[in-house]
Amino acid sequence: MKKVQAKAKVVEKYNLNAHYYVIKVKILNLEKFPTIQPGQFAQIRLDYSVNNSILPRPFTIMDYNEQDQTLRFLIKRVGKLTTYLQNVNVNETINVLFPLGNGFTLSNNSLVLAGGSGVASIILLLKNIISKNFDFDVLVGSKDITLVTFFKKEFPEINAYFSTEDGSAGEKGVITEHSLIKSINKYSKVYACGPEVMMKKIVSLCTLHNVDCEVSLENTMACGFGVCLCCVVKTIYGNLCTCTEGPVFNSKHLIW
Amino acid sequence: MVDLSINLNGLVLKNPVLTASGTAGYGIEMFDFINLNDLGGIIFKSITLHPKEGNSYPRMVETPAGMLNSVGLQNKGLSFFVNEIYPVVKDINTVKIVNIAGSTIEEYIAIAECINDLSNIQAIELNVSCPNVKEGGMVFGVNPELLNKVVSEVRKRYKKHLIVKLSPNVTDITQMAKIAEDAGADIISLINTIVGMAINIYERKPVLSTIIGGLSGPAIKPIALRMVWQVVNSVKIPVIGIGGICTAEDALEFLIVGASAVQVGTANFINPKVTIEIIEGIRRYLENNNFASVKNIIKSLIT
Repeated sequence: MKKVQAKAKVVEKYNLNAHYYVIKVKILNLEKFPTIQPGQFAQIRLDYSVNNSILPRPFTIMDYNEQDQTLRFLIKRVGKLTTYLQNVNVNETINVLFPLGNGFTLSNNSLVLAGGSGVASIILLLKNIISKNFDFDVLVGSKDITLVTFFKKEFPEINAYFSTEDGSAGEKGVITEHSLIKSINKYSKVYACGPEVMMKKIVSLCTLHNVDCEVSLENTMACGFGVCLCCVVKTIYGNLCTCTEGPVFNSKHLIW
Repeated sequence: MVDLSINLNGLVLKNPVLTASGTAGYGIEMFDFINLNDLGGIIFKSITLHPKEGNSYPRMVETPAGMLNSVGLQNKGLSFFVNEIYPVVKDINTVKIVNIAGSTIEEYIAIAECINDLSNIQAIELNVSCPNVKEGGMVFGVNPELLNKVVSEVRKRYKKHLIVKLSPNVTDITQMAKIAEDAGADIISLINTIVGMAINIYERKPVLSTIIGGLSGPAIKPIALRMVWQVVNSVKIPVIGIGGICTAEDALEFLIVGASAVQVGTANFINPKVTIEIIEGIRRYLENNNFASVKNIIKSLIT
């Protein structure tokens, strides 16, 4: 699919808590809205005068609406750009480059795992899985109830599993210790998005039980479309760019 | 209609804006964003004789008005370029230049001889200035004797336009430029990245896996401009200016101090359409200021 560089107008922004927020942007002056696969991402950039930063930053496209020409992102405040966006005003414009990278491969009988901001990567994935009538279980892990509440609002009809570190929803503890993980071998496919330590744990379990697993990486990058060669990950095929060969990788290709 | 064409010692460009090596891949990656035929030229990502994995991640970090990288010349090698890339890019209607890097003089020679036979590659750019490889790379660009040797040896075997890309990591850039000129370079391009570093203070560790890397972006523009100006005034061959060019105004500064063309690098990461915007901006500037040709502003600096 052709990549698009465009201006986008912020049409909605709301905080989930002090760290997480959701932002919806409308793509301006677009000839044709591109097809977006679950797991693909966008580069978001502010003009230099706004935050004294030159490079864009990558964000998973949480979902989109072709009719409205909008994209939605779930963002965690970590640095300058995400701090600025947390306080952005509706109608401000930002620069976007999308859709970038390769997404997930849809499979039946899957376990979908999201830890923390990894929730952003599974929203569109679940919508696609549901539209195919595939069987799945989904487990969301987070520090507290914030992302659980958000997820339930996105998918009120789903019986999802949860784990929270403070015990405010679902099982208390980290996602990799949730009881559902014990039966990981009954799934044909596992999707894991979250902190690297979580994904590595899941990958080692999947390898142990010979379950196909896809993970979504978030390596630091400059360009996002395969020319700077900065975001590489070690794979059985050598160093590959996370931006063009990922961000979703089958775990059996990664050398972790 | 203003004339944007440039003649670099026989190498004719339709306009003075090229993509810098390592910032626009092999051009193929830019297809979605720009019409490559509109560029003055494309300089492909460095190729080495054998495939190179490059350095470990992390390889880049943004710094004030710039970025550090330590990619380390990752590429699939000469044969891959000749067999897989060349057929795809050979008919792009602009000047196509292969940037070559070696860890020995023999490697430079082997690549140059091979590229010499590719009829649709009009020039090579000798990368003697990559700071991110252990062997070769910048060593050739900061050692006067080695620079003389590598340029002369490649010159003997490469019959088309030979560009030498200089490293700024030297005490006297004009000395290196004169050596390249005397050794047979047709064109000089400068600057490559400036060696720098960044620290994660919480872990008290370097941010890059290689500890040091190459600084690029707007942060290096004033240094690049100064060096281009110095080199222009010390050699007779044409000079291509490189270093932090993000806008037409940036490019015009380089042309005014005497660069005959410019390469746009890091700005491609920020905005993949930037080269086309720069070409249009130069055209507008010339029209608005009643210059019939871009040649009229080259080395027009009033001091």
